[in-house]
Amino acid sequence: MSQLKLRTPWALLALMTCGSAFGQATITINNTDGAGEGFNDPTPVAPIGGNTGTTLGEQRLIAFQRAADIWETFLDSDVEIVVNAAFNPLTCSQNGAVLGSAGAASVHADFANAPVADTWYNPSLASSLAGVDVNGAQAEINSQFNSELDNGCLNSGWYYGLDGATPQGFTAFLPVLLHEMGHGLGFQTFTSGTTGAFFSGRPDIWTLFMRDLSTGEQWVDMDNAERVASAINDPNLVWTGPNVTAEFPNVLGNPAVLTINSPGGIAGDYAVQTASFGPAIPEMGLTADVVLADDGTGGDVNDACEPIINDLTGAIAIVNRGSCNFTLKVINSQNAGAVAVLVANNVSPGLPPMGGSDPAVTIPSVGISLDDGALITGNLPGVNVTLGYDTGQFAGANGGFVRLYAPNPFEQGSSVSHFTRDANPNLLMEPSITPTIFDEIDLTLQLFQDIGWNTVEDLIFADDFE
Amino acid sequence: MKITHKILLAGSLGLAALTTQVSAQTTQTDKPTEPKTQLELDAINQSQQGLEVVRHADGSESVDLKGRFQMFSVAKVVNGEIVYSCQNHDQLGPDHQHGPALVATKRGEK
Repeated sequence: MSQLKLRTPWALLALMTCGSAFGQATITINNTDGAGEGFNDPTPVAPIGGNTGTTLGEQRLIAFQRAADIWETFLDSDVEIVVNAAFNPLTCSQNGAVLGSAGAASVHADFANAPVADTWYNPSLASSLAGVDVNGAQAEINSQFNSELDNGCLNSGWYYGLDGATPQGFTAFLPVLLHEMGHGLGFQTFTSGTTGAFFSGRPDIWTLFMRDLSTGEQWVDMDNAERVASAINDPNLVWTGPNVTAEFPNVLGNPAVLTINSPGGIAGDYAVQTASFGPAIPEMGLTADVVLADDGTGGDVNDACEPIINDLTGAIAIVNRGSCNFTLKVINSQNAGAVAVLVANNVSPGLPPMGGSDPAVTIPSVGISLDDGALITGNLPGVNVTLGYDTGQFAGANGGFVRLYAPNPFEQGSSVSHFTRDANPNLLMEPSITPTIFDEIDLTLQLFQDIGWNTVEDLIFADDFE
Repeated sequence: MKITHKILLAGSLGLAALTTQVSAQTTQTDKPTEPKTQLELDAINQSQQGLEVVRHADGSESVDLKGRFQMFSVAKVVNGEIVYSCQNHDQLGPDHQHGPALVATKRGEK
């Protein structure tokens, strides 16, 4: 099975539909910032990464409009979608920051042409289906993003480029915005995962497509206690919509796996977390001896946060998590000759998240558990491994369906309203924001079809058979 | 569930409407970390308290969420690394660790 899955970049789809009579949605950005701030900030800046704005406010607005353009290209609606948008000073420190938020402004049921009665829909979808603006003058989506980032409260600030080439130390704006706008357009349930209660006594359209494989029951047929249990029942909470289910084999690849070939006493397959940066593991796999990286300095000489002093030529380096970005560890190992990197967790249980972005990374890397890292380093030298794929599975699927995120304990704001973190390649609507996903919406298109959206893809397909 | 009814004019739609007061059932568990604006506070709020179900003349119903039930993206510094994720505001903080990535556990070990 190929690891190279066909995706439809926004620019390609835009080209396919250019000049046609498709009923693409119109998404209007309603700038709610005051004079001289947010989208109206007059601070001069240099154009960057395809963003031609020459003030901070212009660049913010151009990036926002690009996200809207991408969603417009995929969705079909004759009713304008209005997004209230603002940059505000939100929580931010050197330990963390709120990047932004978005969501539906209202919910609607039993409107004209509602596909399912007695069921809540978000206003963008409800208006599209009804053919009229169901919430009148009110915006369909509310959103706000953190202006404090550009004051250096967390790192070097937002990157407003449109090219996905986020420099080290910056936070990519477009991927965050594309993700949050997806929630506002319908990637969100209003059924509580902590009480199991429907919103105001009735399910939303999202809830109709959730099933627990342990019991075989759909969420809509469960009682509150059963929904609470299901919301933390990873990996058994799945999406049963027919469009996602039919399409995921064309999108998801096989899960990456680390196989220890020798010594025989520890040989076997071990779970890994793929990185959001750098190249994918080669389809044919990558086999080499493992060498522990040594940077000779700092509190942990094996954390690879400084230039490596031992020779890693041709080896798969193993390094410890902590003290610096994942990308720096991989670049330092790469500079010492490594062909791939294993980052061993420094907490247990679980795998390092392997997030980050740096175009300078040219070798694959994965995270492994604390225990597995200790097992490997305890058997050095003489550990030979293969980084490859388990061809018997789809990464992020279970029982023929795509998994939803359902960790235990429940994570408010993450659980249930996202695809699983385990999808490979990463998906736009996983709880982890992938900086390199800035121009495609992958399986979210099919999920939107499942909940009732008419899409431009439907129109192209219909047009082919006219 | 406590339900009270009243007639009002839904101004934005120009429709006579029947409202239903949603009960004080709440799922709010948030303890925001230094929220800076009322908008931020509203967005964190996951409570249905005070939200009204409006019944319109055409038989449809709607609820203005009043800025609540928003989805958040956050950045957290964990072990010197910035991790970006979509989760609730109350989980932001230096002591918070992401839940483990739930990839399949070790398989085929000999």
